Amino acid sequence: MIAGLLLFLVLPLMVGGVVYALRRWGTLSSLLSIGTTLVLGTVILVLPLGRTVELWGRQIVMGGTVSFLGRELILEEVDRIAVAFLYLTASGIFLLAWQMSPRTLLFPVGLGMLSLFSGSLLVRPLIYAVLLVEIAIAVSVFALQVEGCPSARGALHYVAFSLLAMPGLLVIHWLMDRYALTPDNTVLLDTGAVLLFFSFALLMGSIPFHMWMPSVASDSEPLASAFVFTVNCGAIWFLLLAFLETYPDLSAAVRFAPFASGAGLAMVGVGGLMAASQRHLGRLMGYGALIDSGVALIALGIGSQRGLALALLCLLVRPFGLTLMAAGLRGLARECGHDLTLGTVRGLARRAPWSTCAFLLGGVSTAGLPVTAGFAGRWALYRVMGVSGLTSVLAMMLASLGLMIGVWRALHVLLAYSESPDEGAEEAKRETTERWPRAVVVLLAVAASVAVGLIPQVLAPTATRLAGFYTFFGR
Amino acid sequence: MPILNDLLAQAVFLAALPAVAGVFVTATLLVVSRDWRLNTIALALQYFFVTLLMTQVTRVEMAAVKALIGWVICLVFYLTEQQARAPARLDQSEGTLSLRNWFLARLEGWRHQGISARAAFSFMAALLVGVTVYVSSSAMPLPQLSQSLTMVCYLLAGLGIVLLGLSQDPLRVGVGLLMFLSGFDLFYVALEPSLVVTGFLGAISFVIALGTAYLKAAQLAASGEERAP
Amino acid sequence: MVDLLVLTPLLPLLGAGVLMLSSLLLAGFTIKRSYVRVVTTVLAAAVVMLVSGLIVGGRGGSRIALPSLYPSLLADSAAEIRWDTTLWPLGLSLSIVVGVFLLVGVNESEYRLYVVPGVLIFLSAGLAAIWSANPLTTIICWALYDSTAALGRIAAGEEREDVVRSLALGTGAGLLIWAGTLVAEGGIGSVQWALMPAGGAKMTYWMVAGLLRLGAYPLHLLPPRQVRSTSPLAGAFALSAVLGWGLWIRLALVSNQALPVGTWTGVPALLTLLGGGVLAWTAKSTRESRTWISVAGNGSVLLSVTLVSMQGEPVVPTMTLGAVAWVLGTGILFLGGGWDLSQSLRGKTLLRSIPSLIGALSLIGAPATLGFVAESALLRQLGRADGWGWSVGFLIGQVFLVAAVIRWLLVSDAIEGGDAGPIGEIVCGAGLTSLAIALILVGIVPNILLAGANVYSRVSLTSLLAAPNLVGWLLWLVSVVLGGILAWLDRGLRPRISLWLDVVHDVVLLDWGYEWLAGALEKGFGLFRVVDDVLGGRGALLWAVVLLLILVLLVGG
Repeated sequence: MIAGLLLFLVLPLMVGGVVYALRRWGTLSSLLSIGTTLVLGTVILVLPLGRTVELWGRQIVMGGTVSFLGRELILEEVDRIAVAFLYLTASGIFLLAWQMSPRTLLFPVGLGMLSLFSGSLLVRPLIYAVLLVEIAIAVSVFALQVEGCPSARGALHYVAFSLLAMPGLLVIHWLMDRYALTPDNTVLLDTGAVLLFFSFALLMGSIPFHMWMPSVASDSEPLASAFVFTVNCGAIWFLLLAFLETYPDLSAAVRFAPFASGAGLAMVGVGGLMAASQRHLGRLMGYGALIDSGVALIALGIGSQRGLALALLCLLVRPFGLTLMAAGLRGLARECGHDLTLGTVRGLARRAPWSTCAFLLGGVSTAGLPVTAGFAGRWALYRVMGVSGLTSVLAMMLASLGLMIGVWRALHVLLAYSESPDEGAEEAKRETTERWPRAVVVLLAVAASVAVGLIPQVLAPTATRLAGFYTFFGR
Repeated sequence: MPILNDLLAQAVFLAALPAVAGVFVTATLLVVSRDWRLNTIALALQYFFVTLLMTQVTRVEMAAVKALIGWVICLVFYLTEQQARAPARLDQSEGTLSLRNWFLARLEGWRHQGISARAAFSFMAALLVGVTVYVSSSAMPLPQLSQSLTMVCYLLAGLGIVLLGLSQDPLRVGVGLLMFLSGFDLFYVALEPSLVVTGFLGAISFVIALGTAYLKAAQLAASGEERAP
Repeated sequence: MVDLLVLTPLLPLLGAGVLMLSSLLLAGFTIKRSYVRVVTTVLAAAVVMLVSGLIVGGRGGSRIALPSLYPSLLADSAAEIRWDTTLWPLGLSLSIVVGVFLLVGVNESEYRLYVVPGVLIFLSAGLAAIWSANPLTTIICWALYDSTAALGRIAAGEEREDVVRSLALGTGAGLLIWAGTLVAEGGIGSVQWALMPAGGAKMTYWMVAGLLRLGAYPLHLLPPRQVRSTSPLAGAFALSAVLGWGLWIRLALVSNQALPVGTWTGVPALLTLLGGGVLAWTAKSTRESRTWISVAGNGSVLLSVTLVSMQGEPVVPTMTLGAVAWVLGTGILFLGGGWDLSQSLRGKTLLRSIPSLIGALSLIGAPATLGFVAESALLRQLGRADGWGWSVGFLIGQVFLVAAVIRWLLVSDAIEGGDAGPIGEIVCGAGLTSLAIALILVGIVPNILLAGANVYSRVSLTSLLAAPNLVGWLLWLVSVVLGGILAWLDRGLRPRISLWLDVVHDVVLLDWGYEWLAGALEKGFGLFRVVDDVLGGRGALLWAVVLLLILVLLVGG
């Protein structure tokens, strides 16, 4: 009998090794990665907890507690959805990477990181989860670095900022253990709360620790950046919720909700202003991710079960926008040698129409505008915040507008076909370099985004169900 | 490993003021110096002194494990930097330089050119951090640690952040991260003496070293491509 | 029983899908281009005509709702489209005009096959937007419409500045509707328009959103301006204002048949007529002037509607019929013209000349044409208006409009037979004629389009003729006469003052203003870029520490 949990720790690592060996054959390694993540993401959702299932002659049991290297791995209902989210998001990213950048280290490294993130979601106590997340973040450096690009700033910023968060999270565990013994010593609780806020501010890119986000997006492999912004950030969000659930005194003692709202507002404000001023498409995506993170924090700052559900909905729809944007950037980067400033992407819409389309629609979804997936989350959030939260709603709308200004500026430049008739004739002869497989993959991704935007109950009940497992805001 | 344990046990007498001073000197040297040989030696020495200090709060065996990991990391950095400098050395065709000649050449350079503005700034920043650390260690002592150990932890963390902030080179950033981690490690091993946690922290250090070495190699490869016709 | 409403936005989508699939499957075969053109166009036009028939055939109560967000913990909004007893003429006119565009397009030598599916998708989005039953659906459909229109305009060879500006403006209009739903208490995103509570700040937001959609001056950025392609299909994208009319009609129905306007609404309306007229007459070529004639015509209807609403009178019939007249008139504007006086009653030119003349008469609001409905209401208001400013403004604007329309009628290049031969000529003529017949028929019996509408009043030709007083009639006649004189002098005058006309055109166009604004914003953004470069460059971590210290001091202090 095989403990199903171990599959999620070991299998991705093994497949990652095979994929690394096969990376010369881009299609094979890509399809292997896509298949693995898709199967694992589906299996963890479909297989029932606590019952033995026979699969290919082997008996597998999901759920329960498993001991691994002396530590407990526990799969609960909430963890199933979280792990499935990470794996299915990764499969979507791998699918786009198959066409956009098939021979990068994203596949093997991504699989390894998924294994580590799975462990972080399943392991108890939380200090091991923190350590596993930090290892995964350190490992992501290998995927982020662009081959042939001398700048390593993005990866370095990401690792540096994220690593600085680790000490605080590890010490919280010790502080809360002490607090349990001496509950009248509120200094421990206050210190723990400050450390929690500070550490997750670093991990989530809250102001003033947000610089790594545009750096990662501008200097790194775009789809690897999308992996960081969606899968990594998703794991960090679940880690935050695990902390709040494990130490309810922390969220009760400090004014968590106002802090989260304030941090979110700052991210949204700065992100919107900076996005509107960007002339580098990669940094534009980075600020889009910052705005999106801020919106989720504002939702969390509502301080209720409903707010938590909205934050999780924003998290679930986030990959549709950022992944599309990243895929578009990767496609454009192939045409202009990884320099994604406005000057070099001029007129590329003709040579790379599908990449342009992906970038634009991804930007629209990240901005939360109709009729894409991001709109579903924003509509629900704005409606719930209503008149009482009008300032926050206005800030979020203006931030969306700021991001769209950047996107429109990019569109204006991408459509800049030559004005001269001679050059124009030459340009017209240069056919698009994008073949039908890429077009199909991009269309699929766009269709998925639009489908979720039009039929959000594909994801909304999942968000609500997920929120129901957390009790720190009460029921 | 028993040999290392014995060595550390014999050197325990240094695990007080000399180790603190050693950490301060090596950390300052890492911030100020740009010479990769000097930095590698300083990092290795720093790991030695930190290990000695660690023996005050944990078992010698655990401290030895950390020392081993640290020295392997120094080896990784050394090999990477050597690889990085190989084309320059071939171009210069200087042949093998002895340590004495290298040191004399350095001294001559400092005498003629003086200390660069960058080095002076880094030194002043290190001094400032040192003063801040001295004041903070008495105002905000760390639990389970003596004042000297608290000072060392703050010093390593502070200088690590300074190095992170001032550097763009991947290996120097890696050194900064490792210094920060060393400082935290020294504190955390007193709170959580678990071997598994020690192993994980060591793994993080190792992955950081590998990662920054990879970034350095990638940078070199990209620069080589740009230089090639 | 099949719900006919479902088919009206779906059929054009299906048609576009079939066309694109066919082009992919038949790409390897050698088929004569003219056959492909004819088949494509006929298929597309047939789809559109079927849609038109369904719109006429479908009567009240039809609705479809997309699945709602579930459960209600997060939101309880549902996207829904509903056939409307008052809005169906708008949908019908849009369908007919697009169908005629497709039919006439087959004639053109510069025919672009790939624009046809774009036009069909654009029609689908437009119909869905008109039928949208609540603010959420309106926001979604407008966004779909903007995306498809942008794609179509790019394919038609429009200038990228115009495409990006129209996208930006469309997004802004959508955000305003969204903002309106938020400022209303209780979350009214999925409350049907028909059941919407009147009044409140939300109505102002929605009115402004409609104004943006209508392309009111000085935000006249929606209509296409510089189009490299001569294909008539590009003209289909000039009909964006129909969405604004759809919204305003809904708002009027909410507010007891009168729009919730203040005096401020009349100003952009008047400016649209004035600005559109001046731009139309000062345009370099008649091809360029078409867009501005359309804008000025829209401004005339806008002014009529706002002045009537200011008096608190029911405005829905005027608005509905005025919008339909504008749509049909714009169709003829982009398809007709080129009336050669020497050959006016001969052979093949007859099929184009008469409809073009009728279209021109409707655009200037001549009696017995559909354009007279809005004109009559406008003249009635001007005749009794307290301020003379409205009348003066109308007179100036109308003079230029009339001059520009006459210039278009007489000077523009007619659509030639192209490769399609005599059949193409007949088809082209038939299309134009159908539009002209609609303008005349409904102009004489306006209640045809108001049958079944939820309106308080009905209109007839006699009531329309009797509505304006002497002052009103004088204003109109003087403007037509002066406009005619201007048009007569045009040929001799234009070459001598062409430079001045260009200057006036550029000034009124306001591109200099938008470029100045964009430049100022860029300068401001440049500062943020510098900050971004500094903070995100070397020493990012140290900058973060410094900013944290500042924040701590600020918050702690």
